[in-house]
Amino acid sequence: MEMKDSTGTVHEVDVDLDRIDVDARPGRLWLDGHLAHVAKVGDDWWVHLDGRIEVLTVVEQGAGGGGDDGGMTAPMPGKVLELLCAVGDVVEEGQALLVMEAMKMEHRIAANQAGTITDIHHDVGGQVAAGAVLIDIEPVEESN
Amino acid sequence: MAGPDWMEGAPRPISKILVANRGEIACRVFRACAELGIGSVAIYSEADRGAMHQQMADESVFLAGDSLAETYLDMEKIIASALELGVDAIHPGYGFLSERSGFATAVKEADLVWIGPPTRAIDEMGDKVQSRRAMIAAGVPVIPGEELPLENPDDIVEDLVRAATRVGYPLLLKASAGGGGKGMRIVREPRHLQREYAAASREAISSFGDGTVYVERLLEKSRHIEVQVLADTAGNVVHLFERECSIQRRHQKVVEEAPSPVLSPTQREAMGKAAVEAARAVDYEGAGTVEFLLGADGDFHFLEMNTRLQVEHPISECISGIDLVVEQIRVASGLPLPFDQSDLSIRGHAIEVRIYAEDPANGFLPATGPLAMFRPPEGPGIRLDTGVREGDAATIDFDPMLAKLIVHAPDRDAAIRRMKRACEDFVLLGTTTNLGFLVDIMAHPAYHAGETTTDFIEVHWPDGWVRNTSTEAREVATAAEQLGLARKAVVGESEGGRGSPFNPFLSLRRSFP
Repeated sequence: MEMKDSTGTVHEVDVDLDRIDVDARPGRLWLDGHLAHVAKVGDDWWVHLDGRIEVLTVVEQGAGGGGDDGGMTAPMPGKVLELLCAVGDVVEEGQALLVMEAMKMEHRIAANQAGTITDIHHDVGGQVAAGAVLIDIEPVEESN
Repeated sequence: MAGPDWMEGAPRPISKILVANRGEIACRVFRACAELGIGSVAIYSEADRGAMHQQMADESVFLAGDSLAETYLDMEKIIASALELGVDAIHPGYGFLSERSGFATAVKEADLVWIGPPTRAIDEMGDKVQSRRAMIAAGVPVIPGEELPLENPDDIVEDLVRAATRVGYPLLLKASAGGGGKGMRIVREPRHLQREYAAASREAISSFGDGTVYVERLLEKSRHIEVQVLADTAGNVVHLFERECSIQRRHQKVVEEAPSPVLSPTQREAMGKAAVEAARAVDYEGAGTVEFLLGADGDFHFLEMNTRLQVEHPISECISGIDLVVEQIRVASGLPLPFDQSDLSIRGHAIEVRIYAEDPANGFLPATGPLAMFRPPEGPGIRLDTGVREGDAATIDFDPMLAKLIVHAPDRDAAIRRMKRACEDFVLLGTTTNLGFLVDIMAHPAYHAGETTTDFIEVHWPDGWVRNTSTEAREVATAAEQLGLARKAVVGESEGGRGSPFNPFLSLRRSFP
């Protein structure tokens, strides 16, 4: 994948996902045991790692567009290993909902918002395509 | 209306304060109000709907209008709102109306308590030529220079050249009504004098509506040191020691510390005394700051007095243990200061950095964007004064200062280490900031050595600062992209609806239509 750094230099980056651990809390992942915080704004990935902040822009065509507004989607093709929630559950943002296997790694899919689970689209063992919607959440109403 | 119990017997008891300001300083005052048992009122404009300061106050007043003149600078509207809500005192914060004596007068005429100095002190200190005269009369040392107001640009060439020759080069042309680096011009050679004068005068007219410029010797390798003073209505004046504010970019402060790393106890005492004399000379009341330039020769000279609470007041609070906002309120209520100079001493060392939404790698140009992730550092001796939260945005509507990060430690070395660590731990994603630059300042040997002159940044980064890039960050970004870790909330849609004051994305949407 191609990433452009803040100086405008484009780098071809190939990362071995064995070096990465994902975190049940959104916006966090681990590289070789170092905690990184990440946030995506448009095509930019903001990264905080080892006390430094960098912004990197995805330049690979077609990689920018997300498009999974309603629920949580599979980040890549894979298989559902475990379901950690049921329809009707009230969940918090960041709570792990589903474990899937992809590229020989387990990935925990965490709730992207607080709310009630309204639908689970795949059963344990089911194959899912990249971008497939896995779970729908109805957000909690602001109570004030 | 009666104030809280501790205010019993005060000539002007205060029970509810309106803060005629926004952002971190409004939040700072609201916290003091909450601790003192005083009610609080915020004012806010459309761009600040749902902002932290609006939500933190007990009550808030919406000020309609698109410009500052119709909102945070509208004296009549602000005073009318205060009267309507039963407010009995107004705190102006810094900036905005804080140094407009007309506002102080209007507040008092509306039978409200003005939490600030007397009108006369604001006026006298607000005019650089007048304040210079007052200081000379009070025996406070001023910068060697020519006190020569140059009022008529067509007819001044001879006067100007003569004054400049007497003062000597390099010299500084300054707008009499100036501040914040505007209307200030350095002249190193006589042949540039007229050109720079014309530029300074133009800037002064467009920024302050007053083209009066005066000539002053430029003290190079000087340090900007300021002394915090507090005065009550009974004539007691104390100083809370000095702050060193030398590290600046474009004449705006970036790093401040207290005490100064270079002042000897004798100099400290002399400067403190001079500051107290300066305050007495204008019958000052409340919290104020007397700025000095400390030359390479060890002599110090009066620069100006800021007749308000300063942005960097927290470091003085750290080393003195005095809550300046609380004392401002106490003094405004007419009560005497509960301590005198002999009660005050310096405890430890404090540093403040200003976290700006700006790009230090690109001429410190202001940056905008969402505060997609905003996780301040924590731990002992760390304080954050801010008016923003995660989910807010850095916009072009207001000053680019996002937050002030303050550390306090037993000594200077420990404070520097703590600040470096705190800046490194600050997770602030979505908007370009100067955090990385601040880390590099804290790591710089010259900073450790206390060589904090006003040209620190230009001297040590003559070709500008370069943001370092790392393979690891690229790998993290790539992995995050491949794993689809994008946080929906950041790029996402609003849940609260456009009109809701609780919609944290409102300002984001305004800035990025």
